Amino acid sequence: MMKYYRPETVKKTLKLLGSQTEVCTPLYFPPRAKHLSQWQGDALIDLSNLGLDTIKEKSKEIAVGSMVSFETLAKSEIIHNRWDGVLSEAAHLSATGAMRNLSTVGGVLLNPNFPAEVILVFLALDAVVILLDENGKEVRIPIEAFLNDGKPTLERGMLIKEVILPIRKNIHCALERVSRSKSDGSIVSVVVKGELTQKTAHNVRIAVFGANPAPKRCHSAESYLSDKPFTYKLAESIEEKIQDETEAVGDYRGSAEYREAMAGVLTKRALISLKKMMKA
Amino acid sequence: MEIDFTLNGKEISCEAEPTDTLLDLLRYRGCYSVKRACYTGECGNCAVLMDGRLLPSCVMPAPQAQGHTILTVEGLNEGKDLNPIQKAFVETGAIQCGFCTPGMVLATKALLDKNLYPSLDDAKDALGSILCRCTGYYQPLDAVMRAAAYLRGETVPPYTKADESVLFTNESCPDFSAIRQSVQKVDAVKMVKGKPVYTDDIELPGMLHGMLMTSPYAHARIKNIDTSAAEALPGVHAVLTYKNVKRYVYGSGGQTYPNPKPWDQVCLDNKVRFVGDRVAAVAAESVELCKKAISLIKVDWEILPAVFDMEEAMKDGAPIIHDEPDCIDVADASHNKAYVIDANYGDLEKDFAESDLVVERVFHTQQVQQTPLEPHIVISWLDENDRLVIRTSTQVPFHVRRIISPLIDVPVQNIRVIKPRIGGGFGAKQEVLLEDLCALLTLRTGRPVRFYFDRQDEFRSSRSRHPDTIRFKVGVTKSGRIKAIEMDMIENTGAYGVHGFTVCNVTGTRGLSTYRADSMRFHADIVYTNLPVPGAFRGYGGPQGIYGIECIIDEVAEKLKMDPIKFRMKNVVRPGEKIKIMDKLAEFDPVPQKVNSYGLDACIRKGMEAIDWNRRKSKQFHSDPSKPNICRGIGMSIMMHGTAIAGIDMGAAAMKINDDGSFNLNVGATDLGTGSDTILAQMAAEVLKIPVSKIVVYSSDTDFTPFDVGAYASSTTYISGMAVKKCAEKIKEQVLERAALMLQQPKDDLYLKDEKVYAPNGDHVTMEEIALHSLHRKDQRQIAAYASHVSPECPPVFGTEFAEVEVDIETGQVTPIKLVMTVSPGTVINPTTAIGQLEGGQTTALGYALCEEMCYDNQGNLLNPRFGDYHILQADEMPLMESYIIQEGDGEKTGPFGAKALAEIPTDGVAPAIANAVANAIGSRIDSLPIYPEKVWRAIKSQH
Repeated sequence: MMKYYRPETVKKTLKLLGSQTEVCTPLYFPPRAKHLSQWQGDALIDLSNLGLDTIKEKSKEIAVGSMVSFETLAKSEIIHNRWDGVLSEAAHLSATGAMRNLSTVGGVLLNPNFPAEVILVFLALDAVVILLDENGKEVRIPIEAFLNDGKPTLERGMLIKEVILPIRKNIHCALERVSRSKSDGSIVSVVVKGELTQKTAHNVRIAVFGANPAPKRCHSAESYLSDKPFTYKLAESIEEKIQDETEAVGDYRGSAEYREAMAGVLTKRALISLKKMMKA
Repeated sequence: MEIDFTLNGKEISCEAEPTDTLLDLLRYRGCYSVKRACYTGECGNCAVLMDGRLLPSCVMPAPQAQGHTILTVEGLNEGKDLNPIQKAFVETGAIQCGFCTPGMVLATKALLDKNLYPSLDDAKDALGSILCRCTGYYQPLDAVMRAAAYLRGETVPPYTKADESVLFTNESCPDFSAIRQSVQKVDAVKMVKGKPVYTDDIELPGMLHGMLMTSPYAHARIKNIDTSAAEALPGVHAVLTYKNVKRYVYGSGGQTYPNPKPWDQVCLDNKVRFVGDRVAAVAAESVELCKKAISLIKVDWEILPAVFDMEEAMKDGAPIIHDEPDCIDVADASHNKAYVIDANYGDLEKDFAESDLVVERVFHTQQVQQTPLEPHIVISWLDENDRLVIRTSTQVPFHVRRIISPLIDVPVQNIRVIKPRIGGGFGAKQEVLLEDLCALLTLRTGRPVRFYFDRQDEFRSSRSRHPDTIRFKVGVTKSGRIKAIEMDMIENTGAYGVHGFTVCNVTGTRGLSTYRADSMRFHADIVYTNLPVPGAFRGYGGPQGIYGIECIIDEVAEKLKMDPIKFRMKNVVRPGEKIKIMDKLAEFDPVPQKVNSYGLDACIRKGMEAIDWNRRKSKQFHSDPSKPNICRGIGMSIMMHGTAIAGIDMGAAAMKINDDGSFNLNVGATDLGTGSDTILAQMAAEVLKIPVSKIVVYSSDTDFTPFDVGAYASSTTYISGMAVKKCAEKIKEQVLERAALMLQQPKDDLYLKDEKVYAPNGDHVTMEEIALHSLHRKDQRQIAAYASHVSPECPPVFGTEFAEVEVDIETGQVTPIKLVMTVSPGTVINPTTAIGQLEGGQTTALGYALCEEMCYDNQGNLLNPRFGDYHILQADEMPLMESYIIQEGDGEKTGPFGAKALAEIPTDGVAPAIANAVANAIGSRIDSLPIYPEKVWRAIKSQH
């Protein structure tokens, strides 16, 4: 018989998660909901009393708690006013309103593969995942390492505390996607971030979903763009570069060939949007 | 564990386990408004408010409620009065089947509690949480905005949007008192209050749960099945397999006796023919025990090669899907042909040879699922007389009763089938899908049994729309006259024949009856494959046939350099003309058909005006320099759909007067949420000149209501309606006779008005006085009548669909901008319910055109058996939509008050209109559905 706990403190939670006698599963709801029977383990841990549902703005970073819902991400002014609203947009289109109220940052971190838009934004923003180990000590893991090519794991006894999103000046982001209909799941999505000066984009990040087995950054394309004058021609030339870094897996939503092509097209578009922001 | 929370204002304490969903807990506590629909959080029909936030209760463990405040629709009910949100939903006609209504009401409350001035986008986002298959979302969106106005304390004018969509041609149309009135649906209040009115909303003492074990293989023999371990499990009461169930060959489609052939099904077989096919059925004390029992059933499989492609299935040497010796009337089992249809007239070869232009194209349509938000569910029990009672979510209660009788060895007289409110059908429930097994489990155990499909079962093991390959060839003269049309198709009927023959018939009819030609030929192979079984789906073959013909007609016009509308109007059938192909194509004996009531010209004019058709000629319309990757297009289609099945569909009605002058109206007709109970009451009210509220409708109970074929073939308004009209007229005669006796006046001088009978001198008696007099006072008799109706006609309904799209030429994504539908269904009985039908049908059709598709792997496993993966359109992605009903003169002479049908025609024209719009935008034609981005991208690539 499965048990259910709603601990009042992080310490108690960590103790439960580290139990050697029962496998305790933290209830991080992902945006793609699980049937209740799919939750594994001897006990479910409800994390709603731990105060992990806050968004804190500090001088150089924003800390988004692991229990922050997608609806909060979508509507929060702190989030909406940053990064050209891309994180809010990503959260909004990831699920219906009812599921946004239930889905959490922790949920998507542990289930990053579909829908992936919020994960793409985290990748593009060089997010850092803060875990708490069994002793309550913080462990910082860069998002790419945490995601582990689409197979993230949370070690026994550990808890996702929050995601840290660095704040820098002149950061701009763009999100592009293609799907069968406006609210259908993406076939391919791209998030691009750049720190923009008058003529150059620095620290460009390109995160792509749908053109590889898991959401990932396109490092070679990022290097290709860095420290060059950021022109429309440069943006348009990215299509081929992106396709060199894709290894799409075709499925019923889209063939590998289409996915790879769209990764290029959408990256180009996102970069052109960034370019227009530079002009602005 | 014990949990404490506040439910609808009351503090409660109850037991719940983490493996119980909050949904099941709330239903156990009597909150039947919270619906079982998907169990994956995607449809929102289970949504509740927890501390003011809308949450999907189906994926939440029950203990999450601890310490929180939960509100369901039951908590909004204010005695007899309606909460302003509920009131708005009723007024706008936003409630059809009502299954999603509580979710929508709560989503609205969550929005308006925070913001009393929502924008339309806010409303779309709110309702985007709730999937609806009936309404198309526009009436619910109107309800949200209207509710906001109520809550702001504004004076809200009557809702007339639907009435304003009914247009009249210049000819005079008769006036009515109850007809053509947007009367509130008779069942709207109970649905908006979340009353327990659906099949699953009862708990019976000792009720067991039934569950189906399904096949993991697409094609296999069951060499042996060992149920001993399952049967030995405590709490398991019965296990059914082919070993202990009678083998009786039948067809499960809910159709008139005798069901069209082939008959190729048995309750439980020793062979399976698709992934999801029946293997065994179990009855146990709980759902968990059913699952455990199923896991203990040991099957010794012989896996057979499977075939999924229609053309491969017809080849020599293909795996034979129906090799059993007792299947009946399979056309050619060795080539997996369930049926073959041939029909033709004229000299096709000669006419093609004489044509100045011949255009040929092959079209492919996909398999899609009806996705009624209420999955299939049946509850059966033995009553106090040991008669079998089957309470089921069905469109065809009388067919269910007749079809299962020999399967379960119970005579028809000992079976009662009751259809309560049902949460959508769309054809999926024109079927005997679970009733036989549920009944058998009740008979074996002596106990009530509840048998249902979860959403995955619903996708895999229920029914869907037939996927087809259709080759059209059209020959025309250079002046634009069609000389010849050839239609050659292969229909994939999946593992069983079911509706295959009749749907294919309709595909052919709809493909070949809109336009005239000197010669026509239709050939169809209906082919078995090892795929889940298609069946009836709103439109019933029409969408496939009309997609093909309207696309090729458009292409012919383009090649002739003729305006597509002018070309169509040059060749479309006209009033007084015979539809020649109908002499050859029919379910049973062909019934010649002629066009009578029409309205197409007015439909075309209005559609052109509403979409601003002439923009097509402008280069500026097609492309915008500020959006270089976007091309725009406008397309259209003409639809023609039948009304009922001539000479076959029959409906009946019974009425009686009550002491207070009200009437009971009992009809076999099946209200799926379409509003048939309401419009039938309107018809009776019109004849008797009484308010609709004085008619108490009871429908779809085989013990108490007269026969009706059920809800399909767009027959209810036309056939059941005429039965009601006839019945009411008999009642009227009796009422006038009684009034004549009371008033001592000649009956022929009397007339009905405002619930009274008047004599020319002004003397009158009320309907109540008539009732009391006839029941109690003198020459006592029950004023009552029966009537039936069947029609030799199948008067076609004409309409048009116009679509405007934007196409992203880099990605291929098609965005629908606007849809305009115009239809001439004769007299519209209830504009609000009618517009709801049009909008809902178009929405389903838009999904068919753009995104819906059942996809399989190479083992025949369905890859997308859940919402989300199988995307149906949400409120927040709907294009602008305008729907117009055009009434011409008196409407259809053979229909009640001039009415025909409009239930299915909205599903017919969207796909070709979208396809033609895409062709207008990009210059290439997409000849397969759905028109998803990759297809368009490839078409554009192939141009360069």
